[in-house]
Amino acid sequence: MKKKLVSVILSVTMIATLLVGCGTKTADAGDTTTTTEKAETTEAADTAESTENVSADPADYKVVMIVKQSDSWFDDMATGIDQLKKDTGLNVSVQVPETGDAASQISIMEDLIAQDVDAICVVPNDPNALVPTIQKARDAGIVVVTHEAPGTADSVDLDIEAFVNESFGQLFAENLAKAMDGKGKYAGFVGGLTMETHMAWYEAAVKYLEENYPDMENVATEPYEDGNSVEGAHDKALEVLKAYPDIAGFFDCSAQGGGICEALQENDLAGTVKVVSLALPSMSSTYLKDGSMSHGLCWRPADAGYAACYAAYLIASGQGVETGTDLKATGYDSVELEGNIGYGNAPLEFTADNIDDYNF
Amino acid sequence: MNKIKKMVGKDLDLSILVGLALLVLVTVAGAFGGSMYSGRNIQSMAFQIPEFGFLALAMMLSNMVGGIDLSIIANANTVAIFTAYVLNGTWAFGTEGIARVILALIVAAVTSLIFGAFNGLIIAKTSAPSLIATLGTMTLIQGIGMALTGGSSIGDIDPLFAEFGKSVVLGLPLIFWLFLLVSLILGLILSLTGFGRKLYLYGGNPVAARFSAVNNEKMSILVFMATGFLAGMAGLIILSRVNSAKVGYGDSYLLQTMIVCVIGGISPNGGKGKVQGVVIAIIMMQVMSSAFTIMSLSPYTKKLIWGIMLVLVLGLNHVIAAYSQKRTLKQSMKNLQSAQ
Repeated sequence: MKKKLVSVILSVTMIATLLVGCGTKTADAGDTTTTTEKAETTEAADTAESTENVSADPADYKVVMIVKQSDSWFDDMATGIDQLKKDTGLNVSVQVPETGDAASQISIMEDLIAQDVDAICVVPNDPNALVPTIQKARDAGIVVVTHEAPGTADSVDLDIEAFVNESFGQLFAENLAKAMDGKGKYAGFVGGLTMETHMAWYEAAVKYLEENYPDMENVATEPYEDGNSVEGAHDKALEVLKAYPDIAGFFDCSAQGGGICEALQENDLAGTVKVVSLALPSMSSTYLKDGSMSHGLCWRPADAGYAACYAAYLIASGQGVETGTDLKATGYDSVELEGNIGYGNAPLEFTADNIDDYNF
Repeated sequence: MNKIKKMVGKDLDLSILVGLALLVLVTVAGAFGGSMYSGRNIQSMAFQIPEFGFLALAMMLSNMVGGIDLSIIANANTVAIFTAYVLNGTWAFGTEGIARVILALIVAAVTSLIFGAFNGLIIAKTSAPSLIATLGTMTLIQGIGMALTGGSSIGDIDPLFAEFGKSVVLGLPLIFWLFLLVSLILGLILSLTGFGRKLYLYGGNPVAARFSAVNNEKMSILVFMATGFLAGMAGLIILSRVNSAKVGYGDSYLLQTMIVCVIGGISPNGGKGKVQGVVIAIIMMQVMSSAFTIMSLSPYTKKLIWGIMLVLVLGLNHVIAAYSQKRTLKQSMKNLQSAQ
């Protein structure tokens, strides 16, 4: 009987060693800076307490960015945040949820609140679901900055947007007009009529074209819906081509302009009929390079992440963000503050020449 | 010493799990010290446990009868959506304040029981494998939620109800106490009542159960109703924590509930396992997941560790099963010898 007990104890110790082994290994693999970061945190906490938050040294502040999930867009955002860490010495890190689910963002946020960080930046999957947790963080004295969540701006310290929607819409219009030489029929696409940002861009673009390019004519009073899918854009484009054979240009406010380009290629119209679309380099580079898409528009996640985290530091350190504040990132050198929303002016234009410089 | 030995011998699975959990707790304490076991962090973990915990308990019940319920998350979300509609006044039927909250709770209980009973009926009457049946109902229930909301979140609920997810009693969240209470009741039902014994029998060997005058169809329906009810409670907790309900919230929990059940000693083949094992596993998972956040591990590393845990526990279970079989054999040989 004793032998069995000994063997049980032995096996438990063996598992223990195994697990401990795993633990240290994974910690190493995960992030080699963990230990130094930890040391910095405690240090930061100490100094913050002793000086009662009057210090403005970036290294004293712990800012954490919670992104939506792991993909090329947010990988690019993480590189921007690394850059911020290098530039200013701010103690900033990125948390990546396992899945694109509001539940994982909430639990990460809960953990961070308990760790008493100075500021949390978050790109919410579902802004409304996060509001109670955001409230909890702010009650605990933590600064919360969101990105791409203008709808819940009232509940946070600041929401950072890459641009004012109207001027982004005008950029669509300007690029389309240039590509079409300022004349001809055009059609506008959105992802869906319920998508606020798409509609704002569409309306601004149409208005701008009416005012500045009288020779250009919108074929419909309402935008076409591509349903946020390449197939949707492709099918709708074919319909439009059938109904208006003399159409000369398309613009698409969702990132599915590739579908329109496919439809044009099937009809040997690629390059003749111009396309300007919201674009991700990963999805649109082929069309930009073969000339079927003349312009792609976007904004850079790296810069947005940089600006959001820097803004969080400014607010946490009491320096605040107001109209004209320089957030140090390209396009955010003079933010425009409206209520709780800070607008940058950071649209990114892709052409066949510069598309290879970006990889998100 | 003898007492400990007896306890260990009596329930080897549970003892090893307790040992494992203690080990994780001590390791984490060594690595992070105060920041992990500060009152604040413990409270924050206790806030996170219940919504996942109820889902895990639901999954546990379905596993105990050798089945699986894939529809628990869809069930929780759709129940939350129904309840949110009552609480924001759309379906309130003129009730106000506390009456409205009570009506909402009734609606939640009824819908979750209906969803559960529907699962149970399909599985009992058509003998479809629960994996397939609940895959179907998952899509169906999700579809109901989608049709009602169009995919957007339903918020603006009665603040009285939101208070429930926030309030703290004796240093721990109310919802955590609720979770402990329900686990305790469930544990008592399973170990002390006739229903519990029938459930283990039905789960372990349905054929033998049938020959022992257990009504298998009735058992199946009852178990899946209980599963549905627990999932519905998870939905209520989600609603009170995030103040809104939406299709697709917490989809990532599904796989994790299965992992927790296996780690907690529930046999996926049915008929084995205890509630306390699952509760310990849930707490252990939460401690680990909080530790991962503190370490800011990449999602790949987290998945790697969960995978290693699962494989390790499965391997261990196999070894233990072989060992205990040998022990029983030896014991019976001994008995035989002494009888001679």
